[in-house]
Amino acid sequence: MKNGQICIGLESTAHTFGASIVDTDGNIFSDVKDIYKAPKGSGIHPREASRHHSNVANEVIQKAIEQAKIKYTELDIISYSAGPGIGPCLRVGATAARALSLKLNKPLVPVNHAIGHIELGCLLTRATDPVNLLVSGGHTMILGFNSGKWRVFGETLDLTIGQLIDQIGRYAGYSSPAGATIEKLASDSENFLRLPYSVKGNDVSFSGILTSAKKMIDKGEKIEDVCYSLQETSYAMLAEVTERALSFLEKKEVIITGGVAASTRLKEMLEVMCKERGSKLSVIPRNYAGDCGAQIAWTGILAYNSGTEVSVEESWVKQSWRLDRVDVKWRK
Amino acid sequence: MAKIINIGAEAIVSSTEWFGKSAISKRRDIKKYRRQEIDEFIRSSRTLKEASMINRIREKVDVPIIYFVDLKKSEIIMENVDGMKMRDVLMKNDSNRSDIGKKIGEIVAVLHKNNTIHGDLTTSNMIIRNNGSICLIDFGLSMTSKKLEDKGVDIRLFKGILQSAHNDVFNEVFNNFKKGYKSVMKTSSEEIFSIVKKIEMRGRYARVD
Repeated sequence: MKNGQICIGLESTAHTFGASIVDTDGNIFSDVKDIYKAPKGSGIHPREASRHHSNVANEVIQKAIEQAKIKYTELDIISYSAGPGIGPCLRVGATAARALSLKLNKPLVPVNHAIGHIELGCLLTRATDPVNLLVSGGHTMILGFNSGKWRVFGETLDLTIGQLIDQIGRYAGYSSPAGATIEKLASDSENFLRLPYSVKGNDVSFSGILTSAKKMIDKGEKIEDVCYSLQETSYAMLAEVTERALSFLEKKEVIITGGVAASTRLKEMLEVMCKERGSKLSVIPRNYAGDCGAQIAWTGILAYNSGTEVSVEESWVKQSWRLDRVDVKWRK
Repeated sequence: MAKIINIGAEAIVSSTEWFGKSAISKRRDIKKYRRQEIDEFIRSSRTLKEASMINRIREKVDVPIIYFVDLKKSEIIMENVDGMKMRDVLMKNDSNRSDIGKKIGEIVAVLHKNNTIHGDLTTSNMIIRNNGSICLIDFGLSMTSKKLEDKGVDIRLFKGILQSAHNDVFNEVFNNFKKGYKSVMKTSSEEIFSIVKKIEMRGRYARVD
């Protein structure tokens, strides 16, 4: 029934533990996840998150296998997110992957989580050579592929867009991730309050917005207005630097990947920008925007077939593993 | 009448005439994706910044001649700089990169010596004139600052674009950039380059080595 190789991908960089079964043709047979929820008003606690992952790992993997209607012995490749991410969380996924690899005697493949976001985005949107806006809790980068690597053409100099949204959300007493909540509040306002707009060349800085927005909340400004202004300002900055990369690289295609790709307003702004330039915008489907096993499984297949493999003894995780260090041998 | 030469990220550049001379018009048009308040602020402040900074620095480095500024339209009429974009020159195989790198280093050091931060030192903002002189354009993100940190940020941006867009010639160009920069800046250059390293290490997931 299933052709080619079948790969399981385990994701465990931050709040999500995920497992997914994907084949060489890019069919996603299952994508199961369980997300650690921090108490209201606080962020991810590394120990608590890793404990959550250990507790759910078995069940999530089992479900992924069942939903894909395969047997463990049919797996050909075991891939895991090796970084960047939170150490204790990464180690849970790596440990589970090592166990599967030893038990089934199948190759083990470390995958860079950020590359996973991009490659899954390209698979699902059929983008071939895009400028990629990668926006999540861990990343805010504008990327283009050039001579063997995904190169960074712009990035945040301090906070990521996801951190900005979550920290304001937490400050106002909502639970993280707060993207959907902030967007809902923002949609009830059109009262724009000025926040610092900080674009430095191709880079952005969000720390000024965070400080000012907190002060506005302290002063008693309506939370709807603060959320609205925060979105309008920070997304306009992202649209501007994406347009800069598009213009510099003379490319005609943009994709948005990462958890914040689920934002309707961000997509709207990028759509207007792309239309004015005669470029095409694609956005990763909402259910695959956030962290998931599928991004690891698909990239695991690509990496394995261009020669990436690691023995269980030498397998590793790296909390700081920048995506522009990764040799992307499967792209030309 | 006016022929569009380039649709940049920020502005539309078209050919025009200024009292019989060939010139270009750079117009920062409305961006519909952002709110009007943000849009107006960005377009007028950057147009003003660009024109005034070019005039301030014109005796020190090669910049285009400004003929006319229309703040209402966010338009600058300026000299049509004849030459090739640095981005395209570095992508050609036969360019003399060590010489070019050194020259860029010298120019940036002259800017920094005069406490001028360009703010957007990418290779598409440098034009090599037919006589070999390197003309700096696009001062919309520039500022005046004495801080070594700001000078470091400026260099980091140039280094970043070399690494991402011109990786094959990065070492040659950047090593010579440093030589050129040091020859003009002298004493404080070591400190500035160590700040560049520090700024890089602040990048997310930057490797500690």
